[in-house]
Amino acid sequence: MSEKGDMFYAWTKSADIKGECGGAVISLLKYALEQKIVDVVLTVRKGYDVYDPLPVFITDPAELASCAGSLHCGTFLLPKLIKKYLNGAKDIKVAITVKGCDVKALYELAKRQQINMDNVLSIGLNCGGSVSPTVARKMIEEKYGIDPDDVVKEEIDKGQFIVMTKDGQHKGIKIDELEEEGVGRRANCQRCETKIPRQADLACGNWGVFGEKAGKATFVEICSAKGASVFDGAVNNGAIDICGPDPKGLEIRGKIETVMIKMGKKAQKSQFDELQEGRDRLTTIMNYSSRCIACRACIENCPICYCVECSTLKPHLIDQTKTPPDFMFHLIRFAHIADSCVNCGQCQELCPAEIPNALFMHAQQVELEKMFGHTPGVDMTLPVLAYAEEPEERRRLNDTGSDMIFENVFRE
Amino acid sequence: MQMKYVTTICPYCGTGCALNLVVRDGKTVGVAPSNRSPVCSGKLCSRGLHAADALNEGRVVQPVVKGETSDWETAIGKAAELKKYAAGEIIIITSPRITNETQYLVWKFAHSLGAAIGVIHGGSGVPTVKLDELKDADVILALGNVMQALPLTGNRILQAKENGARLLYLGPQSYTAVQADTVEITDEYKELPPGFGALLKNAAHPAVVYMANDSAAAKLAEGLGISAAVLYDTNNGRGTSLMGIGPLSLQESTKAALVIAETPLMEQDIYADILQKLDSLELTVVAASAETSLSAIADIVLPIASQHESDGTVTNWEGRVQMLRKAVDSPEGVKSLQEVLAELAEKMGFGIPSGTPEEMYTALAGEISAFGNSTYEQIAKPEGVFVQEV
Repeated sequence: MSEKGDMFYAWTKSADIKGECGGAVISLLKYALEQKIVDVVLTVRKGYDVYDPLPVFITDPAELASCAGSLHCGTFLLPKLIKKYLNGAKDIKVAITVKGCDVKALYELAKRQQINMDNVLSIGLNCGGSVSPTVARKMIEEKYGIDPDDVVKEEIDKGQFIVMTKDGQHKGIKIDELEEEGVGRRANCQRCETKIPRQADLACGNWGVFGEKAGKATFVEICSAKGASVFDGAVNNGAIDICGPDPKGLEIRGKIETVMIKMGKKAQKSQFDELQEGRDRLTTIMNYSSRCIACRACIENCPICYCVECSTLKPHLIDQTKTPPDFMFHLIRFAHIADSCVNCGQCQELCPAEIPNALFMHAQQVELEKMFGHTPGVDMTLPVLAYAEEPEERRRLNDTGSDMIFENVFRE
Repeated sequence: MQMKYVTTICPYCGTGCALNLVVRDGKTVGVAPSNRSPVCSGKLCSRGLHAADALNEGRVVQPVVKGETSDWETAIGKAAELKKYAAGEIIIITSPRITNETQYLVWKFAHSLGAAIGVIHGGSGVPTVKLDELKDADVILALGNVMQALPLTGNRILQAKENGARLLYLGPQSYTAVQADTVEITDEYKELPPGFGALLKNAAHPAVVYMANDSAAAKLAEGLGISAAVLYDTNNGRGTSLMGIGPLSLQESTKAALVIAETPLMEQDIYADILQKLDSLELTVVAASAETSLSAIADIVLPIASQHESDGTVTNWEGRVQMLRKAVDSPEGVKSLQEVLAELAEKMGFGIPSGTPEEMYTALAGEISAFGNSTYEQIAKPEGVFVQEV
């Protein structure tokens, strides 16, 4: 019987599963689906090519084998799909693979009653960052001198982004070097400090797989009782085989994580410094925001945005006929979200007007964390704004007949 | 529960952003980014974000004859009365929103009939710059509110500005005006304001950006002799133009019309200006996927499949041919435009080509040389294929 904090090397016992490193993740998902522990698996599969990972909703266990392998161009966020298309897992059991930003989004949605965590099995995947497909192709063409269409596989190893071509050519370039030239991982990934997603039920990856198991097993850390039960079940059922981790491997895994977190902090400092401070920072934010076309892609894709009645759509707050909208549009987003921003980067990556929204939001989040002590996405602790059940709270406020926040919220 | 993503092209403007339709149990339930798209990198504007329901509202699911619901045989029989008119008395009014393959069939239909054909809200003009090349321009002249009309084309103008480009603007007060460095607010543009000419002349990579259906802008731009981004504001306006289908002109002699309509939600009513004229015709046959203002004046309405229910290709403003993919089945009782045209042609006593979208593309490529450099299979890649200069 395993328990929270236990660590293993694990690998598949099925000959049909060709995982990235031992196939343990696919086997665990397959086991969960076959045993009806979950009804659907939400994960990622290669689409047209290695630059085109696509979310998939799998109900047939046989289909899971096709999802094996990691794809660093997968820049999207999965948990909001549970809210949008699976009714927040309120009446369906879902297994989901999660990177650091995914699992943090999962918690923030759960805090706001948008996802029922009791029905979610989350399998964490170590993540050193992702590269937008368009950037990856440009970078491979210009910095690697390789036709991006010839690349059949890519990986991140020992600080390098490595590509393999169809005729067996390997080429790696240091990520530091790429990022200094403005390519490489997304800016929010560069700032990220969640490398091993321990908030998930299981945290899996290849960091720390050392010795004879290198490349043949997955490092699994048990992170919850639910994770332990599924993991033990998969072992007992013969889906996966396990052994204890090499002590040297443990040390290596720890080192990788520490180094990457340091890099994240360093990137935060340099990116936030560039935003300047005080009035200058506000001016920068206002200038960029004046490009806004009010398409609402940021709202649509934000894991914190969930309101039934969005304040940015209220004509007394925002003139709905103006493009660009008044700065109030962005102020409302900052006020509502900044304390809980998980730095997933969606609002920036998907902004047609190229506004660095995630940078602005994340920069505010770290300040608010210092002030109010709320760290988003690590556990189920609520930020002030998530205490209320929206429809009930709106009803309560309406019934008071006053729009005074002090009267309504703070007076006993 | 069955859920999948279907990668297709946005049904709205001529930028040609790819998107993923989220399909649950045979219905489009949402839109997800297609980060792989070289056109938009997953970014979408407010219209693209609503593409899932853009074509589902107000569907016509039964043929209508003189305001009464009817059956297909009766409706096609009545529509075939078009043959009573002389070739010069019939006009085919097509939509710039149908696939290259079906547009080819509409064009063949008109050709076989000897009837005039025109597109409504299409446009004309040949762009001499590609979308991504706009990023490298150092001085850009925008004529009209181009950045709001085609937001992901506007995205490249914003990127150019970030690279240090200067944006000049001539047109009404608008979003594009707010983004510009030098602005001349005017409702009509006949000539360049003082200073604009020198800035363009001294630029290493100047470019002018205007809408394909803005003839005043086209006239002004022509005189500049610089790279031009001619923006078609529908998903296949450029493809339609490449087939030689020009803007609609209704003649006094016109007595009957066949109108192909495809209007996604939130789009303006492009038929308002010709409604009265169409109403006065002896026979107006409308093939449409959804209710439009045309329904009120049409003698016959034939329900056709929408873009989400068809395979095929579309051409964006820069000439990039990209793949549309069928996401869902048509409602019962609805036929594809190809079927409708074939049945109508047969009833009228002539034939038009038929086959799969791939076979139709091959036929099109054999006849219209701009499309002659690519196969249907090549278009399937996320980059699509650019039409060739001819």
